[in-house]
Amino acid sequence: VKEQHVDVPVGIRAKRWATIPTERTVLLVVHNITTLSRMLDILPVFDSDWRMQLVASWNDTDPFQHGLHAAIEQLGIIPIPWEQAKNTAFDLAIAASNHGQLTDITAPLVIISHGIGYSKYLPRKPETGNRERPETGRPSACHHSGCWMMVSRSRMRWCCRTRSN
Amino acid sequence: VLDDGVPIADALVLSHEEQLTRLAAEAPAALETAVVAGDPCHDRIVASLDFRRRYRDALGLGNRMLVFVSSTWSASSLLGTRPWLIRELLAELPRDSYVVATALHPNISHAHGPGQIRAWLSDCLRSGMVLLPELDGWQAGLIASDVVVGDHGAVTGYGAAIGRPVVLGSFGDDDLAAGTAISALGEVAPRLPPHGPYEPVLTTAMADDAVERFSAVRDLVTSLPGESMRVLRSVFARLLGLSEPEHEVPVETVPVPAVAGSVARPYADVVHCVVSDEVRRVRLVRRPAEVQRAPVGLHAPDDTDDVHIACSVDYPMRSLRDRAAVLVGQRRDAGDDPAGWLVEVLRRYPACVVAALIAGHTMVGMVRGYGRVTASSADAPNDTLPSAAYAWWSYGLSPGPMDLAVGRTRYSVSIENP
Repeated sequence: VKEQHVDVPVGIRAKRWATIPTERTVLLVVHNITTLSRMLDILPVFDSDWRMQLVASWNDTDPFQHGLHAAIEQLGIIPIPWEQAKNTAFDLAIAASNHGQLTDITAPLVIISHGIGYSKYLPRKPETGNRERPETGRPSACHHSGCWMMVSRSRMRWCCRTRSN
Repeated sequence: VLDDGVPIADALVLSHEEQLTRLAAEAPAALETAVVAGDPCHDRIVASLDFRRRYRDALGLGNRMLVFVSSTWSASSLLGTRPWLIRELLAELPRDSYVVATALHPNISHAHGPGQIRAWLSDCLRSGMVLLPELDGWQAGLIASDVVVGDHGAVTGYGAAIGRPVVLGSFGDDDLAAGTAISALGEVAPRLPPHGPYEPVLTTAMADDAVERFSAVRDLVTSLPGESMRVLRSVFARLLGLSEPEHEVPVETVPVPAVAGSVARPYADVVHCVVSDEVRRVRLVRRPAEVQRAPVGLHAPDDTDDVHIACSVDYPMRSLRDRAAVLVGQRRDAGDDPAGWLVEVLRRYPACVVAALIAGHTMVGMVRGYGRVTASSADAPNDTLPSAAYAWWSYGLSPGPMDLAVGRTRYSVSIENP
């Protein structure tokens, strides 16, 4: 996780250091390489649009952290620490998954899928056990958050647990 | 999707209307935020289909079939359930007829370590497997492929959606929601048997009408084919309170992967030769030796075949070099004394029958107890020439032109004993 706050392109002093006076700042929430891969597909929607400044951030809730910072550096999007992202008002935030403390972000939020639609349930944490198994086998609301993606077939998913922590 | 009953997103982007029904059933409060915007990844792959030849060239396929092995992550994935499958495919499929390329979900390499994955797959990499770049290599691989061996992951699904023949090596039913593109894939795709031979299954799949078979998958991947980027930009612009730019949204073709395919790498093959001496034709069938399950090279399958090991002198396994009947170096290895180099190889490797140096279109060699031999061909891969010379010598053919059949191609080779 990136620690060092940035002075530009976001922050109260950013204008001082900026060359291009952008109108909107968009936060890409990129919690792992898989979601980054989908971001690569959609980023051309901002091509040639000098009104936009993109930055990226992520936090330590995702188990697959390895290589993420390097991949975002490779992409050339400025990474900002999650603490700074939480304390910045963005004009838009885009995430390619629905987990990882997205409610900490102050911005209109768009969630896109990172696979084919939404078809896969994450593996249950082994220690969570089967105690929430619904009688019918039908999906039911998650007691932690009511998250539609998180509940089905008795599976408690770590994204939900993370958010409620 | 919901936080204390309130939608967390201002726009929940769905790729297909089908997901509206599921959302309505399971989180109706989020329904008002849902936007169907198609699938930008699928659109991009479809926009790249016309350039299949480019992607095939980048992978160095020639007229070989590309078997694309795709694994999502987790213990129920293809790699999690059948970690040896790639090795089995490499062992079985002749390398002049097939290339095996593998695309692994990033959660595999970034859970275990990319270097760890390469270490686990090192025998496969030495045996010619292509490991596709994880971020942007699989799309090109799917387009280039002739058949996909996959699982319940999205990459396999995207392959089915563009009409590639898919055979499922595993399918984690428990992980999946019903009524989706992936569940449709599970319903229609044939399964790979638990053990080989796999080639007949792949051949059957390739002969099938995959576009027709997987039409349900294709229809569930997006309900706005070709429109995703346009719709996404309009969603973003609305939330940003901005007008949309006047220019068209570009839909980029997928990048051509940079794969180290053309560099000569050390190889060790089990080579079956079939010689038709009356028409002076030699057929070679080469398979990587290191991944063979049993010791090889001792018995021919029938008495018309001959089996030998052909091995680079720098192949990093002494046991294979020691058993090789054909040992091959690069011409530059020998400096200005090729004859001395060839004699030295025969001396150091008592099982070696033909020592050879290759460069460009030619081979110079030394046959134990016989003497010098040269082979040249305008178009045959030069690493086939040493085994062609071995077959020529072991069947007692006279010098001169000879037909060489390798994979799906026939070449003309000239063999001389200067």
